[in-house]
Amino acid sequence: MPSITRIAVFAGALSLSAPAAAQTAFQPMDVFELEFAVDPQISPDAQRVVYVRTSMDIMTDRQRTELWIVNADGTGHRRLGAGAAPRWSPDGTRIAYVEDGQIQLRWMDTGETATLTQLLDAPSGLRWSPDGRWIAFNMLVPYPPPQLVAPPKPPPGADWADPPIMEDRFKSRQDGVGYLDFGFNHIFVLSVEGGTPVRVTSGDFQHSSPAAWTPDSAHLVFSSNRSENWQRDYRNSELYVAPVAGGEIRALTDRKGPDHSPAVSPDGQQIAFVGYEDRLRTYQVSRLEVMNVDGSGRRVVTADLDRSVANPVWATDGHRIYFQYDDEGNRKVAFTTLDGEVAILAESAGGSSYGLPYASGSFSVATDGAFALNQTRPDQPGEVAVGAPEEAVRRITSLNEDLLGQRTLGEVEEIRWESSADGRRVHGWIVKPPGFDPSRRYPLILEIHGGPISHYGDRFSAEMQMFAAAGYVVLYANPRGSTSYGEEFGDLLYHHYPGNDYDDLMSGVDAVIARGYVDADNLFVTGGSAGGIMTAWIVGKTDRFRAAVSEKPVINWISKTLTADNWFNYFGNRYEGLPWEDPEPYWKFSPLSLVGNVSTPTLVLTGSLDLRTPLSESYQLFHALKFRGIDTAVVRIPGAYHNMSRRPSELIAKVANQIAWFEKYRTSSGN
Amino acid sequence: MPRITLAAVLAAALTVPVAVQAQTPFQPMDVFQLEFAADPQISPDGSQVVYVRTSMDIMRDRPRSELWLVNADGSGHRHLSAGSSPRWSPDGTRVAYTAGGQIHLRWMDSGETATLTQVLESPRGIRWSPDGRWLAFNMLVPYPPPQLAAPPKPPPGAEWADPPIMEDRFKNRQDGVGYLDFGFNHIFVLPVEGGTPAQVTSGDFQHSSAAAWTPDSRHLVFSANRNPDWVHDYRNSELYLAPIAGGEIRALTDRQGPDHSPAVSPDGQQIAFVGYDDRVRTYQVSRLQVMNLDGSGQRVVTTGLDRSVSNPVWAADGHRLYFQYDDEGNSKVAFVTLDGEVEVLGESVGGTSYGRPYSGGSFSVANDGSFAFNQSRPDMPGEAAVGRHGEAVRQLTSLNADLLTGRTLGEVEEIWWDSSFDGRPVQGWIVKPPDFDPARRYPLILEIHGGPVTNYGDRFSAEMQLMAAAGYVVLYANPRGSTSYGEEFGDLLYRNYPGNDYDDLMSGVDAVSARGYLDEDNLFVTGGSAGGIMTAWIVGKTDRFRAAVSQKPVVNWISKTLTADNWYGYYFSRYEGLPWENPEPYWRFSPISLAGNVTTPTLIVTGEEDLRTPLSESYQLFHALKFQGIDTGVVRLPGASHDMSRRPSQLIAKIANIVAWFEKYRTHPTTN
Repeated sequence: MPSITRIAVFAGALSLSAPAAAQTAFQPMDVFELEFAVDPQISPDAQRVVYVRTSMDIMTDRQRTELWIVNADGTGHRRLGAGAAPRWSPDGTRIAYVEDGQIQLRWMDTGETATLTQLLDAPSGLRWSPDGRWIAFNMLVPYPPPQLVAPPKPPPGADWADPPIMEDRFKSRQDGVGYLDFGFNHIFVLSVEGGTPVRVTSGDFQHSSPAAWTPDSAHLVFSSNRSENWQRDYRNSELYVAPVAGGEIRALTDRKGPDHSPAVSPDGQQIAFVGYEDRLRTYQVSRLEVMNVDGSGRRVVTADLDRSVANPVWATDGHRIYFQYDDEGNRKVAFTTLDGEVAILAESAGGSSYGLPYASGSFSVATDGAFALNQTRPDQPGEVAVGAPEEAVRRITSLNEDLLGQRTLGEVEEIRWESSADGRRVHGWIVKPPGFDPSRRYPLILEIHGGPISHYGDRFSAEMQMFAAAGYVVLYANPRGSTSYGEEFGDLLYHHYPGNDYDDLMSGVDAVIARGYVDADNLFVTGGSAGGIMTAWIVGKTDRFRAAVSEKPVINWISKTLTADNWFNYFGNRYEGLPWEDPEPYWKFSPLSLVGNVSTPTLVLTGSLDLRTPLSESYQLFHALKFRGIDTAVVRIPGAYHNMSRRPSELIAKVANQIAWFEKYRTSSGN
Repeated sequence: MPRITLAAVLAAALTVPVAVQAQTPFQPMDVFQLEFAADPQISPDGSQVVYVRTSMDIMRDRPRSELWLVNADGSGHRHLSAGSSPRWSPDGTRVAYTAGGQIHLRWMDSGETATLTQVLESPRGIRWSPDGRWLAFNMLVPYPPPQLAAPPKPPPGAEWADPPIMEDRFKNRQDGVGYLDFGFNHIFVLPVEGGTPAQVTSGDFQHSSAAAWTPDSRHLVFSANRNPDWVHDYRNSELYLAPIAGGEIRALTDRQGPDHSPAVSPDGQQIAFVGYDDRVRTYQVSRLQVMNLDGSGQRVVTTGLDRSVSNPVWAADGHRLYFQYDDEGNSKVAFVTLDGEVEVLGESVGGTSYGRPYSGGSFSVANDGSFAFNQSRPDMPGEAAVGRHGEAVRQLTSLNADLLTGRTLGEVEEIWWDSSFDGRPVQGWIVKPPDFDPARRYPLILEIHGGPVTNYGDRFSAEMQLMAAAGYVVLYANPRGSTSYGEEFGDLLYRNYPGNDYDDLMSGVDAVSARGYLDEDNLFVTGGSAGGIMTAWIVGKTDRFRAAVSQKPVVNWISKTLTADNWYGYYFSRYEGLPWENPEPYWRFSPISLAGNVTTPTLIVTGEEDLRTPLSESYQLFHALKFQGIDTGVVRLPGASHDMSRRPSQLIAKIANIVAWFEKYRTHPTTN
């Protein structure tokens, strides 16, 4: 692990684009050299930041997470130990964190650590009580899996087939996890002196979100769905208050729609939270709301901010609430007065999505109002930064300077255009090959984001850089349905997806071609998840692309909405009705319905364990194209779930396959 | 391994339903005690039979195959060795067989064995040349899997994720196998003295069927599809003639439709084979045909037999052909004159399908016209038998007498009824609980077969017996679409499936009900594959069943016909058009389209590795019912393919789950 001492110098060098002699383009194996800062936690006195430093272990092909600490002025950067989810004690003397499935406590003066728990299941959502005596956390309480009948009993030493496994749950699988353990998540409190956790919640409900303490350390406020019909009422959640000492769990909200992320005001009188009234749409903006601690007097604070907010944190004086939101592809840290006056404190939060330029990033706040966040830019994977109201944000780590100081990255340029569908403005970014020469003609890759209710932004992306390094101009964009442009724009795909997002993207390609440096005979298209859906849709609508790579697509909405881990999530809000009652929209918007039109060579690329867009979807496209005699193949990534970048070698191999497919069909242009 | 010496005595005892004191019903763990005879091969002189004795290894939870020998009079029953696919040399002095992925030769006088090959892939379809000098066989010739880009290279000692795997083949998976190896199957010949196999076929085509020799031992006749568009032309195959010394491979047939199972006449002038003109239907009868060696003069021999035939074997005099066929749920060995006069020689061929009463048997013929086959009856798993024209068939083995004399099996009674839809007669069988009392009222299980273009019959079935032993009357039947009733009946599901097979089955339940010993409040339904489809269809159409278990169903024909190992096998022949051009029939006949009607508690049971009716189909039904608030569950069998009886413990556990689901909903009336 390289120790970084001359941070300021290196940080300065980063922003210079002077080509040094030994510089090369971003290399595939560079993925193993990337590092990024996650979950930065500023100490209560604002002097230090603990964060999770994530790097790639080239021997295990996995991400490695370690706790590092750095002073707020960038000095004293050093390793604390393996671990994740660090949280400062209110007095700043200790850090609780999770390692090896147990809650650990570190005394910051001596560096001594204690293992506080001996749990059978992994704790999550650690929250210190304001009096520093307790840590609340969430944990699964398992119950025996259902079994209709005992399996036959083998003789001693026999090697029999595994017995049958019964499943009877509404939600039974989770992408990235597999078949879920049988159990209910509950909220526990643990004495910081160590000992036996005490369960606070009860009942056969899921309590999976971290709880918020009241200032008196006597109650916890949390989000859950404790209604009798909670399984089918999956779009709904309420806030509850529970006494730590045991007693009645009381609902504070009752509206139809999600209510979550509670934060209790310093005076204990108010609760800030996030939610919306569910109108069963494809996208609705989540608002910051405030109510009295008994649930009365609810009102929206960010009424004038047409953006979804997250992670509310009260300022110490109780007059302002910090929060984060995404605006036009860029994540902000902001605060708002209780009257809704919003001021932006920091930009470009992010950094844990290193493969593709998705939103990520979080912040924490010190007692004096200073804050820490992780930050990313197109030429900068996630680094730690600190700021304070009225002060400039300062980056205090430089984890990737060792690598990127030797690399010429593709330049990322913002672009906006008007959609041919309705003239609506669409936002995107062009990534240019290193050494870009505008008088040449470059092949273009249109790279389409997932979601589709999500967005790309001006953030670091290893995949985009690898495409650019292979000599392609890349266009990535936020067509309608993307978040960070407001509720109306994000909801335009309601009952109409794929829809005019297709036009938005085609107009984007036209806009880049109009710049004169794209070889219009060598247009390629790819994307993952919703981007894979759109890729499959595009080849069914146009033959303008020379080749396509559809990554982890949905091909058939009828099978997808009955096989995926989140199968139930689409009925009504994405498409009208239920597939077995009204298959027509589910079919009409399935790329499979257009497969008879396809003439574009199309590769399909999916993780073999993907539960979000199961491999069975990919095979439907592959087989249909195969039957039609279209050049096609499916590449499966063994052991990969929906996130194909969990193991660095998989990300490298995935992009190598995409490029190889494009190279196979790329024609050499005139210049 | 028990030694059976008093075969004839025990065999007689088997058929007598005397109640002995220590008798019990068939027990779940009895499945491990079942044995059956497979692939009986009679010696050229008709004096001995080599067969594959299959028993269950309780330590490994898998069937175990061994070669056993028995004299044609039932004496001298003894173990030869581990192995399968035994084939006698033409002079009867040796037996070639496969074991451990190699071809072995056994000298029957000394018992010495030699391993003839050291091949990397498994040889199949071993056929002796008439001069006894060569063995022809089929084997995969692999080619390197496709790769678009070399994966990144790990440092020494690193543990990286497995690299990406590329697939570019039309057919790329096979249920029970998994992802297929990349390669083409070819036909080889191997000198019986041992040595290096010589590849006879060439080209990027699949040669997967066993070849037939010409009498001069110089040519092989085989079925394949060597058309340039063979990948898409998957319903078609032709017969080809290839010189083993190398040279041109010549097509002998050219019609659209399957042509296979060639047998060359003893005089070398004619080829018998099986096939039909493909009219792209759901079911067509395969006819026995004959043509001259050059492919001229093709004609159908079994014109008067409206049944599919298989396995033609020439009689030594060249005047007759032995073959087998299924008739009304019973498999026959027969022969036919070249004029089409058919005579049945042996009945109740079967025995390899021990779980459910599907067909599963074969025969072989000696020079003198005597033949060996395996036989199954409802109270008898597969045993070896011999017969000869004009003589009674003799059962040679009694592999299960040790177990079954201590068991009272459920009695199996044939039943016919008329379908409510069109009055068509439908055949079925009722299995009664041991010690059945017609004055009592029994719960009923309707057990529906797969296919749907296949048949159940009067054959042993461990699953039926286990359900009967649990106190249920079981009805199993051959509704329209079933084979062994002729082409018209088998093709009635063409573009109408599930169709009136539903009515046939409901009428069958009514017919059993009319016998007066059913508890009408406790009707249950189950079935696997097409039987699971029909089960899911039934609960969408009626609430007469108290609970249902749909095993390995298809619930969505659009996803099934694009995800299964045989995904392409349904277009046009089962449903009109292609799913992406004409989804309407694919949807209309999907059980999921009826999910909104279901009120019946419905369990789904499927193997995790099923590639024929993938687990993703089962989850579609499970989730839809879950959303509808219907009592449901899915039970997956780890490691199991479409055949859930490959491991005995899984067959036992599967039935236990089915019975437990029924017991959960079965009501117990206060009076009988």
